[in-house]
Amino acid sequence: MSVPSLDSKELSLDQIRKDHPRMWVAMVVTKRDDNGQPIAGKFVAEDPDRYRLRDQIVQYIDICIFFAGDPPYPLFL
Amino acid sequence: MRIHFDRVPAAFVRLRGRNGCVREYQALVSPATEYCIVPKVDAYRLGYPEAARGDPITQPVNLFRGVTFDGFWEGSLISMKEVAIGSVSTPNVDFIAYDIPQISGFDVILGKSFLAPSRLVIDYDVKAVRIGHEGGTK
Repeated sequence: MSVPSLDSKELSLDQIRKDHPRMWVAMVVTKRDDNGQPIAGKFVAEDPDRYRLRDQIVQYIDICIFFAGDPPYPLFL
Repeated sequence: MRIHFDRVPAAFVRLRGRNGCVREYQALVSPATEYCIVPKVDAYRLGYPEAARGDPITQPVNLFRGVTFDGFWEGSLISMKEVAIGSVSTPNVDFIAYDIPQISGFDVILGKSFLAPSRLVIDYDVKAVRIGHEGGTK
């Protein structure tokens, strides 16, 4: 578990995915593409459990959350 | 608007709740799902505390029951103040506060309640979602 902070440097989305494989990640978006999709941001927190991640980002009013990597199983919903 | 995906149709979507709080997720784009879905914990954070109620005796008035191939489930029906993908935004979108398994790798599903008024095309040849709202604001 990491300590939430905005002191981290700006990283590309691909780099964040690479640095935190198969983790739920929270980041503050700093750059977007023409479609408004995030392409870079400041890493805030990570956790293998998405509910514990929420505990770390309570104070953030505007934050982006995603799973870094593919789920280990085929997706049937 | 064309958004490329790797494995399954997905896009980053911004949800603004009724308390002004914003959460952005990588959401599964699923035209076969009737309603949009958001985790209960985030519904609470976005200003919908009624979505996280766990009263076993009194049923909330916004209780919603649904069925999937996997069986029955229930969640709370809420109206998200604003949903936006890039510059395309739509006000007052129906969401169900429900926790889909986190093993799926998705927190949020964009279903028909958001996608129906859009001209959505999922192009598997080029692995891209094309979306453009007719009724939304740009």
